[in-house]
Amino acid sequence: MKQIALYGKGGIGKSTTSANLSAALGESGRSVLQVGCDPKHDSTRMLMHGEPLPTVLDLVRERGAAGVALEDVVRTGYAGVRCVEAGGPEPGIGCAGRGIIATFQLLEERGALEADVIVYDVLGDVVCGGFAMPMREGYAEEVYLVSSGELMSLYAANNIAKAIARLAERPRCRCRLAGVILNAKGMEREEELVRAFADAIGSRLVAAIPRDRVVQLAELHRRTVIEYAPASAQASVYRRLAEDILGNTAMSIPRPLTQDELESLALEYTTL
Amino acid sequence: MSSNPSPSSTPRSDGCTLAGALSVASAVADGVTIVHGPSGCSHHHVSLLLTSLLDRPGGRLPVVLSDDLGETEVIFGGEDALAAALDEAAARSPGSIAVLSTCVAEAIGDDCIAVAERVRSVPVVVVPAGGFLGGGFYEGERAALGAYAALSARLPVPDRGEGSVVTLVGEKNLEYEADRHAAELGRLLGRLDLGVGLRFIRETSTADCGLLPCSDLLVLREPGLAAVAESFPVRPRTPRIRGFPVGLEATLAFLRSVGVALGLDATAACEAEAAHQDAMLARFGGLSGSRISFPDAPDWAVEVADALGMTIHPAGIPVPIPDPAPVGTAGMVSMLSRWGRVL
Repeated sequence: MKQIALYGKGGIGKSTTSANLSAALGESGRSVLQVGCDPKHDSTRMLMHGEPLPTVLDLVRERGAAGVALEDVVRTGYAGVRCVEAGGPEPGIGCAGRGIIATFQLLEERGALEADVIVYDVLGDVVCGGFAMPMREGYAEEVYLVSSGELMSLYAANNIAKAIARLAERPRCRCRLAGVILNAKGMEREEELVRAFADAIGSRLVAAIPRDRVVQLAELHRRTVIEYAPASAQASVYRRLAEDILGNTAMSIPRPLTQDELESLALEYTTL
Repeated sequence: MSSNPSPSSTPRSDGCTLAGALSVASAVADGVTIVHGPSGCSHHHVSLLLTSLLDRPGGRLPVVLSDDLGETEVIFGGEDALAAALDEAAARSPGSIAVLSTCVAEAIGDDCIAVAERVRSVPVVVVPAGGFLGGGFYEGERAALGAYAALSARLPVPDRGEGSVVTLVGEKNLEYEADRHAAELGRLLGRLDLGVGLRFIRETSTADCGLLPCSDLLVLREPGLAAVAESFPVRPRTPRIRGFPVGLEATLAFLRSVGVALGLDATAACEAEAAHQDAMLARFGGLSGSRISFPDAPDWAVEVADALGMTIHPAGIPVPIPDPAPVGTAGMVSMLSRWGRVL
């Protein structure tokens, strides 16, 4: 079983990448479970053709944890991908991080965390211990950082690298950095910059996903690119990413950059 | 950011913030206290409270509710649970409700004040009592006093009667001797034809808390209360005495200070009390000549030993030093009675 987690800045395209990755893996005959770990619970929307999933935490709130069965929260989407959304509190109240911990405990108790590949799509930055929990407790053994070439995106990726480095010091923590995925914004020298960032933190660029209008069109049709435009070049990129991830064994403990180092790197690849 | 000291530097007496806040809030005679947190927080501290109340047979049992926060409330926020507890508390028609937050509630950022403001039928005070923010028992106690002091400014002014209002501030409600200390201060004030106008807060009704702004003199239980007393809604330059008197001369000095604060001539009161002290010492004349010892030798203990002609010597018979220190002349009587039993 391969357990991977995609972390990155909010809005960078983690859910799009995760859903297309899961769809590609599902199409290849693997059993796949995608767990959305963002309170806004839209990670699996494209896989489910826009059908909103009841979130684990909403049901826990309504019925209590004992009243939540696996079939209540796990639905099968495109290519047989099983989909779960953790959900969470309304913005500005409660503790979403604790919600992630409670969700994982419930899924594990119900035996849900079984598949050839489990894809965890985790909220933006590692803002507290709760969001580090998939890494800390050994659920996510391979972490992929999703980033564009924008400084704030790299900054978030670097922060997550810090969390991985810190957690890797613990003997029982198996979490490692598996690579960096560029989800391009179309900036000048963007791939060079993100590749240099990946190298600098002791990892590597595993995929460069170009900016393509088909992504927006697929989303408007509530489909993954894999399903909406299976013959497109973008779909090929996602399929290649899926195969690369399956074969990836190059895990590392990252060496996060200082703020100055990160800014200098970004400046180096920016035309003033 | 928390400035909580390391465990090794935390004073043993500096317990949980919630316990301190509860010791004050639960002393509002017609109040209901809500502990906004897991039920275990209330259970632990209410058990402590009830244990201390066993020493006061027939005393009132405080009403303390917990809104019993669990994991669901931690994830989704505990404000709904607090609102429900406030409804339950308000349905009891108390004089006031005190909401004491806990570590969990503070960590998840519940807006207790906003929830409390929705209650219109009963005055509600909110006391932040999350211990992880730094501080301990005393900070909780003072936060609760400050919250009720702020409330006092919004309450109707009760009939203050005639004469000056002397307010006792911050009595240690968990002390076994608290009522005896207050009674002694009442006796001393009586020598100046005064009385204790307000006990802020010990078995005090919410309405009576409204008397605080009318205080003519604040008598603080201990100097550490000076800072919170600065925030009290009393008249500018309201005099304050920074501790209950401990020792023979300190008791006379207390009378003089009250006199100065309220513009009274305390000469006769001091003479009468000095005579009372002399008579008291004469009662314990049998202790004269004893060789005693005690740890740390507080000034007030040395003073009374000297007054009785006792000798303090490391090889002397150990005599007990009360904790808390004995208040007023009556406190000395109790202490000397205990000494008499061991000598």
